[in-house]
Amino acid sequence: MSELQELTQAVIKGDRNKAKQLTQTLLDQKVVPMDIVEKGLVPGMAEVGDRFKRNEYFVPEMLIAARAMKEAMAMLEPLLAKAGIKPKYTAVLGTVQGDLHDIGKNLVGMMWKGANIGVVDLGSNVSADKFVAAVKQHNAQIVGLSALLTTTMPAMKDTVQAIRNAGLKTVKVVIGGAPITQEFANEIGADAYAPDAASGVDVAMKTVAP
Amino acid sequence: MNSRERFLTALTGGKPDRAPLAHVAAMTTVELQQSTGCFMPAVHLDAEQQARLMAANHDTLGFDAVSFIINFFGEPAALGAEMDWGAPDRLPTFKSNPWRTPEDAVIPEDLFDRQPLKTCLETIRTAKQRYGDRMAVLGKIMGPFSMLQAMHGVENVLMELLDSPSQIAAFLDVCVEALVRHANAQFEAGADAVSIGEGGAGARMLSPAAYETCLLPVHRRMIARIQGPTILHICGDVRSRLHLLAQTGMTCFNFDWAVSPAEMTAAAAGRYTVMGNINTTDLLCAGPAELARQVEENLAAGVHIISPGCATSPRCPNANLRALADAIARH
Repeated sequence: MSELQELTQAVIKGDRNKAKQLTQTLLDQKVVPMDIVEKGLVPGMAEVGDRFKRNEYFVPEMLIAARAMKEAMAMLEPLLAKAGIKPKYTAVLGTVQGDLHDIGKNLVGMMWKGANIGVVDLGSNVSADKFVAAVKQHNAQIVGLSALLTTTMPAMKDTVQAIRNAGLKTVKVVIGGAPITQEFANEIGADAYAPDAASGVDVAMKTVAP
Repeated sequence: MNSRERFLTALTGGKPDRAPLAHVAAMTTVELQQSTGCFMPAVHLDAEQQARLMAANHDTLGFDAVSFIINFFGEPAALGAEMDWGAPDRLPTFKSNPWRTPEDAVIPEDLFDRQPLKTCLETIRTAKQRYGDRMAVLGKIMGPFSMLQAMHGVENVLMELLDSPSQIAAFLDVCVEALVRHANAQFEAGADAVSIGEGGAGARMLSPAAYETCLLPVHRRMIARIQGPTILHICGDVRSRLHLLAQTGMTCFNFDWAVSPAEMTAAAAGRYTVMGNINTTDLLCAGPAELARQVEENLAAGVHIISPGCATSPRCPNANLRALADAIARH
């Protein structure tokens, strides 16, 4: 097994120490940082996402895998920036007002970063006004809205409305979260719905560049 | 039969004159707040107003059993979690996780003098005294795993479940002590039953194996010490662990729309009462006809108590919630 394949396995197992150690080994071997991301880390998280879809992995396993990837990415991000590699798109991401749950949102952010989407993470309990201001400030092409609770779904509707009312016609709104459905996305005028974090990359990419 | 008799008969396995309608998670509407003059967030710290809002769920919406309004956040708020108390159209939620290590996890002697628990207990007393002859009054506590997520952080708890299970077990022991005391205080105040909100143990949050190893013994130990009927609520598709939930000792299980009513009643097989599973998204977005259809589906499947599957948005129209009682009456 190559070191890149071992790195993929380390992410799948959520072994953060091994992931960091292998990342350093690969850097010492002069492997291009973007290759480490695309051929080592991203396939690991993709497999984790698939296992989640198959009910073989649950949120704890997803979280420790994401932690391993995040710590390895922290070693690579300065090098990617130094090499002049810029994100393909910029996304503003957050959990809507009234909802403090951020696991799904954090996992989506991790997946998007791995797919070379720049992520401006606004955190949780984010007002519609803050989403609008961040889209304008960062000239974002994608907005990701998350909600875990049925009780906060109206805030998602309010946020989409605020984005449209602000005249931000080109930004694509992707929504997700446990109670969210495609029907709800259609009803509130979102551009796309991601049923889980693992689907978030494909959904965002298809939405922004169909 | 009055509403209280109807609910308690169904809850304890008897045959009422018709299926009762109940809610255990948070439920009020902006419309009800306007008609009663009792508004969130003030009601969370005002027993008099909260009891009036509870009664409106019975008088206006036709619910047989009603719970106080605050969702499953009372214990963390009393134990120091910073709160966003919300607005008339927004339920409260916590903003901080005060426990870093098990040494931080201390239950103070004055727990029930702290807000909002003091108001919750007073609300139960007031509702029982004023309205207890015509409706069932329900209490509620968090589930221990959900409470720990509020106190220690969701991601911390879920990762430590794999990294440091002994630390999670130590935390859970403290949660159980607080929750048993709180549940029994609610029974002393007059609650007819107490619900246990364990949304944090939802189907994707931990595997069936992790539930069986780490949480089932905790649930079993806690429920055995609660001195009255319990209604366990866990969100999501719990089919993979229904055989385990039956071992908790709960009186009743409140399930949501991720599980079909027929599957739920088949899995219960008479071992516990089944309450559910009206889709709360549809309560917000659909109309009375769809909600009546869901009531009919539940009744046809033998669901004992009709209820929303989870907390409802305060922006739900009264007409949608009222449609549930009307559909039961027509059945």
